[in-house]
Amino acid sequence: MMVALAATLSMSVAACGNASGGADDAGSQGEDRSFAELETEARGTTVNLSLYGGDDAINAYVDDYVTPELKKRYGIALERTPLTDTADAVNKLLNEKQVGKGKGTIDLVWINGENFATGAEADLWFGPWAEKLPNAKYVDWESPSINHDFGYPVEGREAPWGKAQFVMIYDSEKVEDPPKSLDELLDWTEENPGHFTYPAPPDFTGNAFIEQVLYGVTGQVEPFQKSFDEKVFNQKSPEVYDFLNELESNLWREGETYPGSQAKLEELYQNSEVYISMSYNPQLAQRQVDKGLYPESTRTYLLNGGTLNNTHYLAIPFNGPNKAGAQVVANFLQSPEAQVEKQDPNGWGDLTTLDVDRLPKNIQKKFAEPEGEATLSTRELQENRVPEARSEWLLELEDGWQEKVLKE
Amino acid sequence: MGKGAGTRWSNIGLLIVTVLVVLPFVPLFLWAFAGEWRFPDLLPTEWSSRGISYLLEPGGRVLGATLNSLLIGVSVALASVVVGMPAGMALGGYEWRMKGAVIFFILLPILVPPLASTMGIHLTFIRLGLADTTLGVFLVHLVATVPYTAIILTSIFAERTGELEEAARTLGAGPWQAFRYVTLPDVAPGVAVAGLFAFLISWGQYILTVLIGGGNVVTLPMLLFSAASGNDPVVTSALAIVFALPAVLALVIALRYLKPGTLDEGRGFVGLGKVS
Amino acid sequence: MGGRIKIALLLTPALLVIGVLFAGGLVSAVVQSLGYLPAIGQTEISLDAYREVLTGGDFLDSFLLTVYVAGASTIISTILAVLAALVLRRSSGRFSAIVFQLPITIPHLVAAVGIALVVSQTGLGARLAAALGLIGEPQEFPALLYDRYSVSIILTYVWKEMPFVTLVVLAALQGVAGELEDVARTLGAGAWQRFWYVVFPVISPGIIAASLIVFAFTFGAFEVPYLLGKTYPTILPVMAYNEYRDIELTARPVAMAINVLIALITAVFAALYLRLARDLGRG
Repeated sequence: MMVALAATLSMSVAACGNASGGADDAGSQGEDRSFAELETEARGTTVNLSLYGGDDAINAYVDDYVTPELKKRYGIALERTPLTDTADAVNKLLNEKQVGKGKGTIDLVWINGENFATGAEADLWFGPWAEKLPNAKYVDWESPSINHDFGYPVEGREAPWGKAQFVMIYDSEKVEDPPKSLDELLDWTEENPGHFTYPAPPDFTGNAFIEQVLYGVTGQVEPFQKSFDEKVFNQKSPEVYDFLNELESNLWREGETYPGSQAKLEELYQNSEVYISMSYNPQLAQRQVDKGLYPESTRTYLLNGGTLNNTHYLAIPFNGPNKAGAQVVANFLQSPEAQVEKQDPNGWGDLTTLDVDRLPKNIQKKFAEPEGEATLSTRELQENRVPEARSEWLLELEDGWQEKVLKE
Repeated sequence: MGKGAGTRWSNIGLLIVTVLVVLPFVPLFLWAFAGEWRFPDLLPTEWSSRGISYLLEPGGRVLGATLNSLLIGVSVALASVVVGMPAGMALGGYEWRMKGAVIFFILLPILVPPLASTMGIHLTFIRLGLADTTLGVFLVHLVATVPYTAIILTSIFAERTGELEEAARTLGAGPWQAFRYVTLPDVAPGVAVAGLFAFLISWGQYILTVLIGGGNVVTLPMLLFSAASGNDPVVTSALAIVFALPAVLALVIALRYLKPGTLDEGRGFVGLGKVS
Repeated sequence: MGGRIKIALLLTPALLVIGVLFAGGLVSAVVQSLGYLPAIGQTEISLDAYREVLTGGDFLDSFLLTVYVAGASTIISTILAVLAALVLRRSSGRFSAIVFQLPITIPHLVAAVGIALVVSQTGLGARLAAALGLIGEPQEFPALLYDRYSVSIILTYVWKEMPFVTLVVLAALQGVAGELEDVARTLGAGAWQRFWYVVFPVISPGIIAASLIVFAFTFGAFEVPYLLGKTYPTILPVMAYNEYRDIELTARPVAMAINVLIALITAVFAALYLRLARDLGRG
């Protein structure tokens, strides 16, 4: 009897989910205080930054440089919350929005692409605020690669933090002539079975690979910059899946399983189980060679036809408890000094999002040009860029990969 | 088969089992102190203290996560014993009609994964403000531990005959005094075992903490899992060893200070037959 | 008189904890599995989620894999445990107590990580094979991690559960079985006859009881397959969790439906176990 009572109690609590709408509409109102006010309000507070935690170099950048600087300059205590996957943060916010939780635990989240788009559709992001930051003057907000995130309008709801470009990595001792096109890749894997693979979507880098395949087999980029068109998708996507299925039997483990994440793919490369790898960070290879983790014969290269490049951002959730602090932190992360430090190949090596031409000459010089055998020059990267497809195409592509490639 | 041969087989069998039990720990210890260890070397070519430094980093995550795990583990152990003991007394000491049903109910979370119920209750927890808190994590750990303490204590109380309490009562002791000065000391070893069990269960929890803690409550198994999903075996192994320590410690304590017979959880389960 | 009230009071704390947090959670899962998600405006109850789950091929793949992993782990653990108990019942001293109880206390994750480092294609086993000249490259070593037969997962479960079952069997052996066996020996029965006709029937209820526990536990366990399993198919609890993490909230009822199904299946095993334990008590 007691049990029945308890169960009914909890059922009614669970069922008491009134539509949350009214919880915190401040999300769409944006920031209207001056930055000086924000700085004052933020002093002495704590800011929770949630970001992907699987890369030690990024964690070190945040823990060893950003955190002490924030304390020193703004009196802000930064707490880094590692995420296994940014989608988990979005999921959490969706849950919180559902039950009308007005005060969450995340102040600032590192995000872009599908995660941002899904969040925006569900009204999860506070804003607009990003174009009002003092350091926004160094950002080219007119550029479509900044004001659109994987084709989705940003509208000041997230502040650009850095740039990523998709590169291929290989071991020059094991691979004489790295495959630069999809056909070459097919041939190479036939001759070298078991020494190439890609992370399973929806891993971020895995998604990028199948997106490159999409551009490669269709030979097109433009259609995927437009709104999602089911007819076009049904026409073009089978080519992608056919290619990936053809590739499958010569992959690592014959494609029966895929590395669960970018980190696992890197492990395979480290152990020389695969000879070709990939990454969104052009500086990764050099960094790992310098650390002694990758063989010295490691080199980076780009696929023909251009490789994906995107901007990554920082967003503030609708229920962020410390929006003032979050904006001050975002502004600092966008500052020239922080961006110079971030691009240091000995640390993270992430490319700056600032428009270098807008910076004073003496600061321009500080931005390190990539050095070393295992990396590529900025010019080479810039000359071979293609934009990301819109998130809607990618979400469908990933689902299709699950059904048509993974499950055979 | 003569006695000598039987003992020889016994010893060989024991040796094999020992090797197999110890085997997973070998690479853990080697990797924890490894500097460079490429395939196909059998031993690291360079040793290093990087793994240990990571563990002991001041202001590092490991210390905080370990303390969190300890705090939660100890509170869960205490709470689940306090909750489980009266249940054990009722189930072990008395017979009554609905007893089978109650035992079934209390036993359920041992066999039905608490993950299922926790996913179900997650939204409610968010609504009640329990998500992202240590209290919330504490509560879901209780779900996993109370059935065990209840069952173990049921077995303890089932074996008692109440003679001691009767004797105390005839000597003039009140029911509370009898409980405090006679029952408690007598069941103390069993209670300690139940508590240790509950601690170990809480200590080892991963997905429940991830789900309810929302990334805000960081425990040691979360660090280990995160490292194991990455590509640094040195850090992973160091964390694994630290994570395993309390388990070994608990075993040592149990074997040294408690009657060996009472650690026989196998008997505890089989002994359920005596209870219903 | 006060007896029944006293019992009710004694049981209250435990019943509250399990009733509210566990049963309440399951009830909530059932409600959500029926599609009742008022916060996103869904208030219609339907069996759509169950239909989708049970007719989609994914559930069947996952279910079969889960049964296979749980079944193989249980059978192997049990057979090894019986053998070990028979061989070791004479030397159950302090040392064997430690050796057998160690895996019971060590957390699953530690066992999983350690075993992975032994059986992976660049692990201890592979390096030994390379040292013996049996293999040259990692990929020549059999794939035991993230593989189709879930070998590393089963190995981890066997490592953890076999000692538990051994203890159960040992306890049963040291009871009545021992005396009966001595009687049989005096009557001239051979070793095999003693085992099959005397010992085994006496210890089998205990073995079955322990097997039921191991099966139900490995059926619903999450951590080890999440770490060591392959991309597809995954076991049921991992499938439920993946659905739960989906950004599309419409996947929520599906996740809950899988949870409810897992709960039903494991509850059946719980009931079987209790029935058996009750018979044990009478016998």
